[in-house]
Amino acid sequence: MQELDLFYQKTKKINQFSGYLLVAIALTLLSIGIVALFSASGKFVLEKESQISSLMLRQFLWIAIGLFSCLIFSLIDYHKLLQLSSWLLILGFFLLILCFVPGIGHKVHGSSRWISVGGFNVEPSEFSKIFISLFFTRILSNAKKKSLFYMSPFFTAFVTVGLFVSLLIISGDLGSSLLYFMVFVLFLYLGGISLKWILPILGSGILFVFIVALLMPERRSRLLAFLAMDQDKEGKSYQVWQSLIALGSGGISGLGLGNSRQKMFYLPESTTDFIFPIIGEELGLWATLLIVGLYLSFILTAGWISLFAPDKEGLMIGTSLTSLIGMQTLANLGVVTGLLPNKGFPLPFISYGGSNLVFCLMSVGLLLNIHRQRPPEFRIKVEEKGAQRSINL
Amino acid sequence: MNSPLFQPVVPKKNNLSTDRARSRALVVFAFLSLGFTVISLRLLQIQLFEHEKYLELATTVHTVRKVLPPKRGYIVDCKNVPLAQSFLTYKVRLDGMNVQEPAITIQELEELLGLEKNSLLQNFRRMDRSYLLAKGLSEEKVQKLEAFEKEKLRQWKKKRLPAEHFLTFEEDYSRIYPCGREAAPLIGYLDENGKGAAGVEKAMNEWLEGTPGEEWIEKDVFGKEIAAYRGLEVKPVDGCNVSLTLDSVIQHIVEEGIDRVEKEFSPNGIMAIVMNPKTGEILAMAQRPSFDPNRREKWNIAFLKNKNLTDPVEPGSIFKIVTLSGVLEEKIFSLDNSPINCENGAFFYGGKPLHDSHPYGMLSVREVVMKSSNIGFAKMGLELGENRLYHYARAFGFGEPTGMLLGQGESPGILYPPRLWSKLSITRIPMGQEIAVTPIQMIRAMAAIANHGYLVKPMIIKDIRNPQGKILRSFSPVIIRRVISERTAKLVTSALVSVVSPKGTGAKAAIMGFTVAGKTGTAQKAVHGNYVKGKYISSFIGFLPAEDPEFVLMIMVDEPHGTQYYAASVAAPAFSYIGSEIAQALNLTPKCVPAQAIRIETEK
Repeated sequence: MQELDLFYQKTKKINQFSGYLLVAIALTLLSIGIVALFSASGKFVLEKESQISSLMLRQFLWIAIGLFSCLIFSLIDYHKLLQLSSWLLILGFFLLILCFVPGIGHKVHGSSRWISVGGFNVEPSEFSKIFISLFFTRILSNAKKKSLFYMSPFFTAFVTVGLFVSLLIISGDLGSSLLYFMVFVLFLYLGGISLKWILPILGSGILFVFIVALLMPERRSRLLAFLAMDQDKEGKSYQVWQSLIALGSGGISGLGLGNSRQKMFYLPESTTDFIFPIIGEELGLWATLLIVGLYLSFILTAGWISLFAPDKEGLMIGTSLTSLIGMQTLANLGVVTGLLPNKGFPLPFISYGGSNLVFCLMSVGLLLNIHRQRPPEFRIKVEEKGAQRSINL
Repeated sequence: MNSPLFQPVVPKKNNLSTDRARSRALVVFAFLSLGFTVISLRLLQIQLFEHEKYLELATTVHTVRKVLPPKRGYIVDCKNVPLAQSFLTYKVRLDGMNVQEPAITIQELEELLGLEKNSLLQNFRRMDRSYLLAKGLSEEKVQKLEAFEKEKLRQWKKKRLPAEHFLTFEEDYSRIYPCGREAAPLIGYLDENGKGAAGVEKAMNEWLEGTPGEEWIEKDVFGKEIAAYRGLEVKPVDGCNVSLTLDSVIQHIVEEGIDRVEKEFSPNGIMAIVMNPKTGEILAMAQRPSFDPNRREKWNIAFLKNKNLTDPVEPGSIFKIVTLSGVLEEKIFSLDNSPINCENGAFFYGGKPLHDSHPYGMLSVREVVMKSSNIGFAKMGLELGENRLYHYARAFGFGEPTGMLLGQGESPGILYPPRLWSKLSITRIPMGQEIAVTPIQMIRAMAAIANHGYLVKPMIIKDIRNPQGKILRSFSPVIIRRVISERTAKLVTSALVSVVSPKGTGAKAAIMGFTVAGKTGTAQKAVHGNYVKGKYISSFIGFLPAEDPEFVLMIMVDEPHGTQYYAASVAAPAFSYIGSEIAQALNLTPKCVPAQAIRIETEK
């Protein structure tokens, strides 16, 4: 890969800044989220007692927790985390099971995805994404071709993901189970499995989730509603329809910050999964394109960092986390623009809700971690400048 | 910064599998980027190209246009006494979505509104968010409903049901007619939509109705207004007030008077008009049967029209004033010096006999009028000739609507041109047969005689004022033409005064203290082209004081039942007592005895 090395040499300078850029983008998205949340939650002040403060305060607390975990994850060498990954995975699995324990688990709309901790609802499936990524990296990064046990790490991965997916399906979280499965496929791909295997596996997995969705009455109606949307504006696809109205009526320049009509309970979940249409309604096309642009830059910067990882482990962790955030963003935007069937995916960094935010900021931390360990040939030689050798961002 | 946790690794040498993973990762990122491109394009589609469509959808979902009704103008009489007025009431609407426990709630609402059981429940739809429950509700009732709603919301909150307002109240106006059935056909009434459907209400609708205002309100999903987003708000403009020339006092006198006639003779119908001959102002206009505009449920559709304008009848002898005016104007006869042979009560012309009620010999023109001799008038007609008779009838305004009030379906009456007349017509028309006139035409013709020969246009609308009282339009009397000379008018008046003399047919129409000029009329009613015995229209038309007429009064009694049917004993007495009271009401100075004294005398 002579060309690639040459390319690395040429792009050293860009490399130097990609860490800063990643943090900057993440912080910008966070700020947009705070503003949007202020607007979208404003209706509660009109309707009920001052719920705005409690909602915003909660979010601020989660942001603080998230930034702290970001710092932690950027400081602990990811190779150490990889060594612990089996234990972390077991912890994640345990937490998922806790969701079903009455008293600790918290049920919303018939799905048990949350654990109630001191008034806060935590969604363990979000954190488990990191754990499973680390675990997969651990077992798959060194899979040797032609080894007798070539299949064995893949088999372990399959069993692991099967366990998680089944648990998530039982808890009623089809969206996350699909995401876990996608991570599994991603690792197979990065782990070097032949391309002729990838597509059948991907296809059968998606087919499996669809069949499960059709078997669950609540999901089925949603799925069918998506397939024939215009016929059922009042019913199951009501939410998506309201979302389109919000986006569409915003137009190019929007109705102005705080002037959303759809947030007046026309559009349910307007602070969480459906916050993007409210932004589109209030600030218009420029804002929505800017946000999509920011997400794209985030993915590209994170991807850049992953590509410049010091080793295959770093590359795999980085790629999987980037893809997780990217797929989740695409899923959310796809749902609110009516391109995908209605699944509850929060919008990273912007939606109200702590678990996903903390997951995203942890991922940013890990990406920074990878970035800091980039090999010397990807750095500007600091010794030449007379400064002491250090690990810099 | 060398933390113990963080030991930089020595980079491993790039091997083949890492390079492969790296290029595969690149593919993954490319796919993700593609996804974002798709989303961007989709956003362009929704927010740029389909913006209009969604904006329209959003507007229909969020906004509600509320019409603010204007207050309809008053109709008042010449002394500002209201004849039709509007007052504030309420409409109440039901939001089906916010009604909990509909079976119980709706039933209670039915009871509260006094509706039939289950009448509301049957029509109740959960999706209907503004079902019209009732209108014309008083403030009191609204308070009761509000209290009911409050109580319900409290109960639902207790039961942990969603408690949102389910009743909405809108301001509305109801029309009331303080004078009831008095002048009702003239004033008119409103249709279901609050537009004038008849009478002054219809003719003056444009002025009365005002301009509705509107309000654009944005609502949240529960139907609650979002006050911050209130859009366009246009205040309603109240309607103008219309003043009539009608005098409610005189109207009342006439109504009471014809009530008396109705009681005494139980006729099929009565029509009465009072008019100022100088200006054409209508002072009163009444009819029986009539209707009470406030009690819509009791209406008989046949009684709604203003028969004084729409129903032409054969006038009979009262039409003789036209013939008389013609012969005197043309100086064919002089009032007292041209004897006419009245053929002792039977005159054959064109092979058909013509009878008088009493046989007369030679009579002067004045006596012919006094006795209302048919033969005398037939001969006058023969002398006047077809064309001149037709000319005078037209000149007095017969055969065309008076145009007093538009949109009433006013009849032009029936007056054929001479080329369509039969041979007998020239002997029949002079005494008021073979033609049909409306009461308003008849009184206008009489007014021309009272008004020195000038024909005026009857007027009912005096002025139009805006709600603040500023006069926007004022109507003045319109003189259409001179019909006869002043001298002729005086002669005719003098002849008509004789009618009311003790020897005349209209002796009973005399009013103490005033010189009355008038004419009786007893017209046989024609049914299918033949005159029928026992069906008469008994009428009297006259004015006073004869020297300087202040008002013309006409009474037509359609088919009085009983032994009396002659105008002399049906309409003339009614003229007397109605006329004397009008004279009092108008403060006319009696010649000799004060009007007050007359009443005492008559009551003795």
